[in-house]
Amino acid sequence: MAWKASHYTHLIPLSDGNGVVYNGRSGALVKLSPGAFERCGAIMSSSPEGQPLSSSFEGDDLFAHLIAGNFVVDHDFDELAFIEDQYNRERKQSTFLLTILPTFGCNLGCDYCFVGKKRGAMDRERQDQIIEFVTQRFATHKFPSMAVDWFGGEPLLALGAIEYLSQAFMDLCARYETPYSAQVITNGTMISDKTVDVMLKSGIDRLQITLDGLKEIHDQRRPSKLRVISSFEQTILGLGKVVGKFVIRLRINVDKHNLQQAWQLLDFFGERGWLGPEMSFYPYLARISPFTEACATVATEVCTVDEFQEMNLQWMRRLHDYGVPVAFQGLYQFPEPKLYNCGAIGSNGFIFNPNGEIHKCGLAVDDSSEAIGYLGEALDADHPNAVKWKEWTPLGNPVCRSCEFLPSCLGGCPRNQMQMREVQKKENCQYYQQHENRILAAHLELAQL
Amino acid sequence: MASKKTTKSKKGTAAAKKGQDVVMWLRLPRAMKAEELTKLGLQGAGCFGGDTCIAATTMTGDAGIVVQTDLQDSLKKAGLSRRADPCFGGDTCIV
Repeated sequence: MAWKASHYTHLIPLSDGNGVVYNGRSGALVKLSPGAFERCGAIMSSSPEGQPLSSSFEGDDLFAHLIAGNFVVDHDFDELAFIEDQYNRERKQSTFLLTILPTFGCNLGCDYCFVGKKRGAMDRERQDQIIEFVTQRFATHKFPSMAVDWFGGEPLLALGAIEYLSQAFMDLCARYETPYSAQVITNGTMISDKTVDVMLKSGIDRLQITLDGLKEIHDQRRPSKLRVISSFEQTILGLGKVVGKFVIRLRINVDKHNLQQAWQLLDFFGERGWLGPEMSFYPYLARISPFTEACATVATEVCTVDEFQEMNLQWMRRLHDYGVPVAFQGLYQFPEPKLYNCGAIGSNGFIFNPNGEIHKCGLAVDDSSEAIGYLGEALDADHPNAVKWKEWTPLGNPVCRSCEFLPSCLGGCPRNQMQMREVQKKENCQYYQQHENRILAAHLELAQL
Repeated sequence: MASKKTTKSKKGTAAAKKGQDVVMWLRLPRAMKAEELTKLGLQGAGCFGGDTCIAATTMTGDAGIVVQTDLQDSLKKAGLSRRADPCFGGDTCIV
């Protein structure tokens, strides 16, 4: 059998002289001592890409490992066709992934919020229509799992809807023996003892809560509509009730003005004892980006990808010093092959807004012209808005087709590609080509592997 | 921690002379049968479905290729839980 180097194999030197070999398609990862890493490099580069490797290498102990990890593959194996088949298959068999906005209402007035200026909460009739929708889907589809993201607006303003719908979803999942999980994306200001109780009973095990800095900057950027209340203090009170009870993904929105201030926030968490190996409290940096027209004003504030990633590496090291297990946490961008890249292009991903609209993309929930249908009506599979998501594939882009980072990127955000958002597309490529392998190496060094 | 040396290859002698040639498996590409793992010098009891397995760590300096095989210890050391969740609604897409 003739072998060739996989197009998706990356040889990454480490600072201690060892090296890592990573294959983006298989996900296989090995660390090699300096001599083995050198031999590996010699093997992989011994023939032009796509050409058979010399059979003289096959007697080397190392070669068996390279085969096992798909670092080298059968010369006749079409890796791109494999990825394309897998992508098309998995998007159809995807998790039943619902994002539900029980309300557009919010008690904060963040200037960058991409949900825009919509108003209104989901009434019981709409909630029952969602239950009917889900019931019908379960009757006609087999799902590997079901996951619900509660989003808004501020979803905890609609606690009754969350409780009511969650119970129905959990009953259906029990009936169809389907694993269920849920999370809430919340500003954290509405968390009370009752909220905690309802969330626990509603199968919610994760919360995503956002802070933009310490009190001064957070209150400035995310002001309470009541004005007399500090949203920062309200959120910290809320966090105090949920840390240790839920997995907390503490998102810190950063731009070029507040990037460095995130350190103060980290120390603030540390002083409260929230950072540690058993706390399941994961602060992470999120680079603000002008996702939609509603938040287009942030465009001039965005920090560069390079600035952000440099900070991100330092951030992971500080978390590690605090005992937070960042190694191999996907939240911290440990590279992994994806089967498909976004709920919007999965056949089983739906978003319900309070007005009864059904959407595919979470960034368009405030744009009625982007809806693929309405609750209470049969979904039209040929609706142009549905078809564009169903038919989109990164494999239609020649740049993606030839990219060695394709398996872990899969073209990035489909919306950016569809809308030809060149800045975002360029930044996405920049991240993978310049930073992904560095982040992988950083994770391994933190884990002392 | 147990360690196991792989079967000597034709090039094993040359490798041994270098003294530091080691393969440390950090993540297997898929769920692998015990026989497959054994061929690589790994003990096959611990792989869980192709996820982020750490199947071996570190090696010694006086052999060709050596892998170590105490999976649980390796997982514990790495603080490893499970594979990351997929993107949820664009909100964790940092890039």
